[in-house]
Amino acid sequence: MDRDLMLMLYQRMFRIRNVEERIKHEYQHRNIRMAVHLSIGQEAVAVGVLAPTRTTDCCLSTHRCHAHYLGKQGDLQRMIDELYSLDTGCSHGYGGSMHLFDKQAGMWGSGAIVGGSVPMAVGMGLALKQAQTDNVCISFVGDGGVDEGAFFESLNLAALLNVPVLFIVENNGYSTITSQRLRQAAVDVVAKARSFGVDSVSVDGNNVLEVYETCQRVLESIRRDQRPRLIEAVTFRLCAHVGPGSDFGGGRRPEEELERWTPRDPLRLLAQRIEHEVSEGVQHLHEIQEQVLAEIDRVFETAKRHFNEINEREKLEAPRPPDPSRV
Amino acid sequence: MTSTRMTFAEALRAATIQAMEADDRVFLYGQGINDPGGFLGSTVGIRDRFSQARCFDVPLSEESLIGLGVGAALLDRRPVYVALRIDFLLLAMNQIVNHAAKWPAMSGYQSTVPLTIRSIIGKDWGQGAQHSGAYHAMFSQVPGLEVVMPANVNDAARLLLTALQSESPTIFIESKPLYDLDDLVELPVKALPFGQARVARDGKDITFVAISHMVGFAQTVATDLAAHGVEAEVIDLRTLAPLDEAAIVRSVAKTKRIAVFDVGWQRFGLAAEVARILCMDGSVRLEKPLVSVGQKWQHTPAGCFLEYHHYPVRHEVIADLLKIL
Repeated sequence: MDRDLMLMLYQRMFRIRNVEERIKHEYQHRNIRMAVHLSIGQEAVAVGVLAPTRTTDCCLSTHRCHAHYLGKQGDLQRMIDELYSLDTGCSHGYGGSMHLFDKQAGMWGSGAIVGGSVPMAVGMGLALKQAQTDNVCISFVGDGGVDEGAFFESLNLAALLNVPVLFIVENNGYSTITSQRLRQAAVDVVAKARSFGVDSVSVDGNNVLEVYETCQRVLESIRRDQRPRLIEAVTFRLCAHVGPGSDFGGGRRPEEELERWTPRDPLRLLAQRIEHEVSEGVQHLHEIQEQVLAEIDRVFETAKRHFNEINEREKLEAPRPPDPSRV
Repeated sequence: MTSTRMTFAEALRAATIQAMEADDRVFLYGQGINDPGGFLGSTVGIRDRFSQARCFDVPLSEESLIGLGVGAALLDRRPVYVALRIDFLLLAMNQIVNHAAKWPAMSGYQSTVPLTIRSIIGKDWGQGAQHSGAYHAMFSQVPGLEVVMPANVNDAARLLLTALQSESPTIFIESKPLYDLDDLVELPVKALPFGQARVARDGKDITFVAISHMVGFAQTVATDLAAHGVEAEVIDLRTLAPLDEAAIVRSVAKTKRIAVFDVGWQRFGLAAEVARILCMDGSVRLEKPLVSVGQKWQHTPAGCFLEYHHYPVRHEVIADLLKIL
């Protein structure tokens, strides 16, 4: 396996993980004044899918969009500014955590109505084709989006109109805390997509190398024949559906699942491989970690300084302290 | 510049072709768009004149089809979706309201959605409750949407051309009775800016504010009232969003009386909006109560006897108006 590729994928996943860990930490100060849907545990999907894309490929995402935005190389400072309600944010303070936008990076935004951006991806694919490019639209949706009728309408439309769209079903098994089996009589997403004439494959969404290689191969096929494809990436959310907490136990998600998936943490899996396969792997990982954490410090300090400057002027009432009885 | 006599459908078709010739990003799609009937004639022959890629038939997936338009529009295409009845747009409200109208705002106004949605309000000939809905008030409530309701052949062509050149999502609402009209149309069609009402008839005694086919109805009522010595001024709003509020205030300042002729129901609709404008403006003291003309507060019956009384009846409207004149 290519050393530089493994280190690059690790750098991107580590960066996303630690941006979100920092968001969790800063959340207690109540100055990120919006709901955040963290991707912790799912980084390999965003990074593996988006690393082989071009800047000119378009990406549409969901409410859980931080990892997709960063995976598509959206600007980090502008993302954190957006979370701090600043007009220097990537959506100028209008979008917030669920609507991250960076046109220059090919990140065309994300929708908070589950499944809602999937039909838009078909239209973007059509536009890319009409403009006679070989660019692809990447459409992220969760297993929750697969509950929606628009998802199936979109599979049909994409296959009927022959458009270059890559549907990524990021299957973490849950819509908030309702499991896929409680919501779907048949859970085989690949079989559903194939029945619409969309070539589909399922991958281990916690193995970033498998995701990367599959996506690279599938993207080449789409560029060649301008037909849609679907990749289901099976993964697991290690944090709560929304907010910085956890939603395991107490009648929510079963704790056994957390125990089962924790050893399969995508960062841990890749780090283990790098340690075994790359000479001086441990040292490389440390260098990456140091560099990324320093960048994250800088970015958050800048955003927080600007937030405080504006807040002193605006004198908004301080938000109530968080209610510990609620997740 | 030439003038040609055209039906309502031919005028829409002429404006569409003109826009497609000027801008190869414009494309049309809708269920049945290439049928021999071609959307009551408004899309006949367009595929043959251009290409299948620019005028194509689609499945009955309203929500996703509007979503497709939003996505294509974000990447600077100019999609035009056509729905034969506006009732079917209710299936796509998620895409129209949550996506088309909001995506520019959610991106901090770094994106635009130049999407046009054409649809028709059915009236008469037993359309019944689910083929005669009039939902323009709902759409007009949503920031970010433009809502256009032409009342005649020339305005239809000119406003459609403007819609196809607009950077915002536009709901272009036609009404079935308008398809009976014909008129001389000046070619090439000239775009008409949104938000400019038209004085369809001058008068000094009462202001009629009207939209779509109710402009023609209001004009007929005005002619009848002239026999009673009353001169009504008829204002054709042309677009609901943006709305020419000043034109309403200006006319009522002169007449001190107002009647609103809406295509839709009488509650939470155009009459309510006109009342809001006048109350908030505060400069005009009405001498008589506002008269609201529109569909009764019920769903449209299909049977012709019930249907006749569901819509405004001319002599009844005149009797109501004479009470305040």
